[in-house]
Amino acid sequence: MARESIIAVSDLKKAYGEVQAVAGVSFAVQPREIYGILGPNGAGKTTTLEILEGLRLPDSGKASITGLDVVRNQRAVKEIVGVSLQTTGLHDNLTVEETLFMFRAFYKNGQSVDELIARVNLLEKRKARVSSLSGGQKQRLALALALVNDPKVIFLDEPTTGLDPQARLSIWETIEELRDAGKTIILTTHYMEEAERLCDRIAIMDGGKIIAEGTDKELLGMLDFSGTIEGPLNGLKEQLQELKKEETTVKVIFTEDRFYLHSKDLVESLRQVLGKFEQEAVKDLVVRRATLEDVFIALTGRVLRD
Amino acid sequence: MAAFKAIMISHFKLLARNKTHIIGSMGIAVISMLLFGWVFGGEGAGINVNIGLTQKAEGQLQETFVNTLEGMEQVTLVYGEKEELIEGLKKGQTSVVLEVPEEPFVPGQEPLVIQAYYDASSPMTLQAAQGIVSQTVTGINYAITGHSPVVSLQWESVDVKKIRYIDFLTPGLLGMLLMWANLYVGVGLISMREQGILKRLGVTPLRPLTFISGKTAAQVWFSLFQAVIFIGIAMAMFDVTVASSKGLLLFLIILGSLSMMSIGFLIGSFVPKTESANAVTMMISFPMMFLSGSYFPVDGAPKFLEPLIRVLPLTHLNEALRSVFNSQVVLWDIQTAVLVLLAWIAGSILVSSRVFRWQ
Repeated sequence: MARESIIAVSDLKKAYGEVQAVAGVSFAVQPREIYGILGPNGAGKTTTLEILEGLRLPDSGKASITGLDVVRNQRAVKEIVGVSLQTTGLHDNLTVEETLFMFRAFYKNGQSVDELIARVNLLEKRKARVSSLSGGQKQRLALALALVNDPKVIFLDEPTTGLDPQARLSIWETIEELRDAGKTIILTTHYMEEAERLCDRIAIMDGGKIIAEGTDKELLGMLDFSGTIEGPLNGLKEQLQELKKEETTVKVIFTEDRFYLHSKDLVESLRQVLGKFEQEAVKDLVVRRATLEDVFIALTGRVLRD
Repeated sequence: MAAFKAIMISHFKLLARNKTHIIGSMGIAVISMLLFGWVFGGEGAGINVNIGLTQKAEGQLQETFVNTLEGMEQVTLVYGEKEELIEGLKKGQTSVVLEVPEEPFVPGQEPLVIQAYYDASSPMTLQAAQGIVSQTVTGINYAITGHSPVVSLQWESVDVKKIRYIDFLTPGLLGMLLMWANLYVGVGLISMREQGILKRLGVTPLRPLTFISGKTAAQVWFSLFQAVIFIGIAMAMFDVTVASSKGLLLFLIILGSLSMMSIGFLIGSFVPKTESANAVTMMISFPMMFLSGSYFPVDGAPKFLEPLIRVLPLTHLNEALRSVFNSQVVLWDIQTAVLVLLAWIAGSILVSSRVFRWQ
């Protein structure tokens, strides 16, 4: 690797009783990278992060941040990382600025509370109790808390879960600003569009292991098709069967009344499909590019979201 | 130090904004004090006694007897037929019914026998009534026979002040206030764990010890704040005074708060869920409040309860507070209480610090 990793994880393992939550995870993150961990619930994403954050001890394996071992140098690590947990974990009866002032006091170095409030657009909510904030505003406050010590590395555990699209967009923009400001970010998510938009590299986790890793292009390149055309059969199943012979077709799947065509070349395949329909008006034809969801299905045979 | 201060200030604000907490601690103590203070007469007006009499007596001796009773301020006489009066006695309308014989008294013969009926269901007024009647009878005997008493007793109190019920009650209620204000610290801790608040703190460099001591300091400050208001009301409404030094009182309030918190933290260490912790705290606090004599003395408690009563920190806190309010004591005089409270605190620190976890 060209640059020195800021986070290095090797063969991390953690079991809860019988359940092997993390079963040998290794990865490295470069400075100024947004590294995404994508996977279904129970894949071991949160446990992996919690070990890096110093909340849990691994059963075996090593992890270091800026060269500091997360177990032996726990407090030093905590000084330089910022964390946003899945549950925000805030006191309802403190105000936004009181919460920030309290957390600021836990760190030796950090940003001013005024800067933080401005950065996450909570100026008009400054004196408001946490209990009166919307879900998106709470998540923005959680993000501000993750920045309170001006951290080198930021861990975001499902930062937009349960938010409406507008609130999600606002969080995404803030995360991109942080990357531009030179932070290294690890985030977990089970939204593939979030991983695709934000992450420089993505690890796909399932059953406590990383089953694939790379840029979204690299991951999508693992698929033998680049997109899917989906539509109604309209009684044309036999004609559509013929498309299997086309060079650009990877696979055609039929259900009772619909077809799914995985294609290497969407434009060419679309032309062919429309040719089969000839004069018939085709309604409800969907053309979509391959996504990380397709990658996950190809790797595990299951859908990502439950 | 900055982290300690930040936790202390934040948690003080949280306590001050928690209305349920304030009503549950200072509210109950103030309301109890006002109610009991008014009902049992903070001014020591004494007990009014209703005495039933069978008839308006005719003889000279009978007349003297009745007139003496009638002259007493705290006595109200009720006249009527015997059966009717006995019925009233059973209903609690009178404390004693006296049947005065009609036959005139002949000196040198049988004494005049006054038959007294009583109902033991209200012992406080009965005791007073018996005292009044016996005193009257003795007085008349001396007067008639012309003898002066050979031996007489004079009671004089060496207490610093005359102790009224409110003087007994106020320190006990203060102890109770400190219990309610601090025992729930464990429930709060568990609820913070359940809400993920402790986990969020756990990813910062904040040390568990800094967190716990900051929270403890906030609790002590807030207890002090509530105690001052409570004592202020007691002084303004019922002229309650503190006989010993105010510094000793302050010391006891702090020590009392810490000892109550020590039980709270022990609950927080061993009970996993908020709901069950709430139930456990209730099951400890209610019996403790009564067994430790917050409202009334527990001198008459059965023998088998005695060891339990002596081990409860609130018992010692209440006793020490009563001494400080009502007698002139110094730290040395309340050493047992202080040592027991310190033992509770030390035990709790030892156990809780071993089992504390952020999540």
